[in-house]
Amino acid sequence: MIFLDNASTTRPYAECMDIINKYSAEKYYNPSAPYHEALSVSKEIKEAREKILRLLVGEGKIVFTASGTESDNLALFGTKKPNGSRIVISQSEHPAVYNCAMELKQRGYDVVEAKTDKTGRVIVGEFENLVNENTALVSIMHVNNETGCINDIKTLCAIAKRKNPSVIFHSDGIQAVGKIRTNMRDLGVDLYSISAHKFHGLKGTGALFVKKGINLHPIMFGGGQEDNIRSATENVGGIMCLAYALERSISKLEENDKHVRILRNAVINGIDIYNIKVISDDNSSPYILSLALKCVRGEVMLHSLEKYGIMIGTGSACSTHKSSKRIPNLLRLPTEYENGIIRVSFNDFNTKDDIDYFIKQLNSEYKALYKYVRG
Amino acid sequence: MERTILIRIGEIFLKGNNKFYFVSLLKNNILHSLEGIQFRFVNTQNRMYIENYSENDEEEIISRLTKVFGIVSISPAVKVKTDLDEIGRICSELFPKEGIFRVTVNRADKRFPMTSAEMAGYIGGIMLKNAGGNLKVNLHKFDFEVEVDARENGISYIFYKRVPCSGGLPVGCGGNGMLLLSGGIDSPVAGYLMAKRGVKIYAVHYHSFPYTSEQAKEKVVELARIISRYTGEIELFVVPFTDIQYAIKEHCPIEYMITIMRRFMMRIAQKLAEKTRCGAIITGENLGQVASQTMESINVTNSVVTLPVFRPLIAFDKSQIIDVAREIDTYSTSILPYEDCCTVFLPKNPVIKPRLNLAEEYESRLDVDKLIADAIENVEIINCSFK
Repeated sequence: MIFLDNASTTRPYAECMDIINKYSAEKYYNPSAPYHEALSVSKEIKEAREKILRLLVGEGKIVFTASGTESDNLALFGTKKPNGSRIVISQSEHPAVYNCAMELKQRGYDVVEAKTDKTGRVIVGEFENLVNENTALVSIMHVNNETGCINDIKTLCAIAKRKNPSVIFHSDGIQAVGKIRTNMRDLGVDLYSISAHKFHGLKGTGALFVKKGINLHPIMFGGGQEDNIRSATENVGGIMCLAYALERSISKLEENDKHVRILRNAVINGIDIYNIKVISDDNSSPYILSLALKCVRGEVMLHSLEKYGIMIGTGSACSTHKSSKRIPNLLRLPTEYENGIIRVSFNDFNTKDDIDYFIKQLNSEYKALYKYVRG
Repeated sequence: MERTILIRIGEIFLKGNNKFYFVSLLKNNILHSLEGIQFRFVNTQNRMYIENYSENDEEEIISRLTKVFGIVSISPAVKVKTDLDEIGRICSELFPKEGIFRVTVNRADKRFPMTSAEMAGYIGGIMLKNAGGNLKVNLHKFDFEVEVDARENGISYIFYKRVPCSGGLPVGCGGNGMLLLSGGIDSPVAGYLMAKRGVKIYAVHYHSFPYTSEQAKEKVVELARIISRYTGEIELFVVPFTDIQYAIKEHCPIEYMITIMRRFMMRIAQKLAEKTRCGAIITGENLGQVASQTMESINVTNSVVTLPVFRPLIAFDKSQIIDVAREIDTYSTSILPYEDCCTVFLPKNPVIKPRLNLAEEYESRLDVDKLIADAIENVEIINCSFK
């Protein structure tokens, strides 16, 4: 099996199985209980929290959630915003942010979308014009989940704060953490979403970095866990895995970067460039490579490669249930490429042999399918 | 006092000498639908009863029986001795103690010394007395009706509600039919309607991997499972169709793509029908809905088969089809957005009024028999049932 859909999820580190087992079979206590064993679990969560904060180089706190989507929801709905105030997002946000913003628009907020270029990256000049004195919240993703383009969050955040110092700046860092440098202090963000299963942790665990001084309203109510921001008994095993996987991914950041860059470049150099367009540019995350096939639907290529045990993506796996054309439309592709987008996303487990096999099959399947394109 | 569910059967009464056959089919279908539940099945002259079941299962039994074709309505009831004082007392317990009501007695036991109307008056009198003045009788305008059925054997049934069921004829009495199941809104409804006329349903689906996904196939399996609540288990034949489409694409004019594709589908359906002893092909076709559903198209696609083709939706409006799809719960699955094989290689301008001689001429460029044999050889059979 050659798994090249790592932007949808990643294979958990084997050690995560031991961790989850430990906190399910042995240390299964509710961290809020008052006896010794539970207190010790609670202490371990605290240590994990501090470790994550240290790894993200942030000053503030970590709120654990059940997913990246929940972290985004907490950021968008939990921030205090005057009624009718402006919210700036980008055109190419993941549905977890985009659909929150659309809901806020329904509720009377002035939601505006910053234009993006042909790789999905926010155009800085366009963004600057959108932030005004009524702006309460900005949410711009760090790495685009479909094209891999990296937004210059540091610059965007500085611009937003310069134009309106009271703006709260959120960034969805789900495709960035553990893959590119994510230094909260350097980026200057107030809120930052992460999701464990994108960097070899487990599904069902996410977190939101909350900068010191930023107050959030809870969107879930109950027993008051997570500083009363996110009630629910903690997913202890998941949290421990998140901390472990984050530490390991960040410690190998440069080594992995080098490795996946080789894989990515091999694909770019190996494909039939007359018929397959590379959407991602050189400044994109090396982990995500977006391609567009001429006259062959991305979905068809995806299924064709399944025969060879190769798994790729066609965009956001989180929204494949809807035939969403929002992102493809933004990329302004020539008509014959519009339906042909495929997403190849790598990780450190992929080998050069895997990639060579993938390139070979991609090219030969493309040739076979091209023969029967719609007439 | 014992809880009972009375089953009323409809058209089967009309079946004269074949009645026994219809009733025993219905009985089997009922037993099959109630698999997994403890009960006793009682079959008297004109009625069927479900008895000796746990009260907790009553809702589930009712829900399943409403989907068995051949049943007109059911009534949960209480079974008692035909003792009017006792019946009056139980009715006072079962029914509200205020409001306007009437009592209707059906007296099968003509030896009973009172007429039905007298019995109703007697029972109503007891209920009025027990209610302490808050109940009123009105035979024409009432909030609730107490129905008592006094049978010949000294047993009476007190019904406390009447649940309408699906009607129709027991599945199996109308022979077997091969349904072309696409994954859209119409074909599951067509299958449901033919099952309602007693046809046991087999289904065939054409799968164009890699152009259609595994999810698209799963969706069709799910649709078959949903209608199997009504039709009983469905044997679904999934036929690989891509090579046939490739061959048509390569050798025939693109505007005849759909016409020729549908002729292949009909031929394969007929072959599978022969294997499964189906006496008809069933489709969800509807006159004028899309280009492949004009009278000329239907004629050209129909001409490759000798079996009758049942098209129960031919004159339905789309909104009527959707209403049935919603009622039988297939709608939300049908509208899931996966491509089906008909949308692959869709020509920009499909021929709306195809000509038979042209279709035949184009097809003569293909090895039709071999393509069909290959497809049938690689068919995947999936048994779909709701369990």
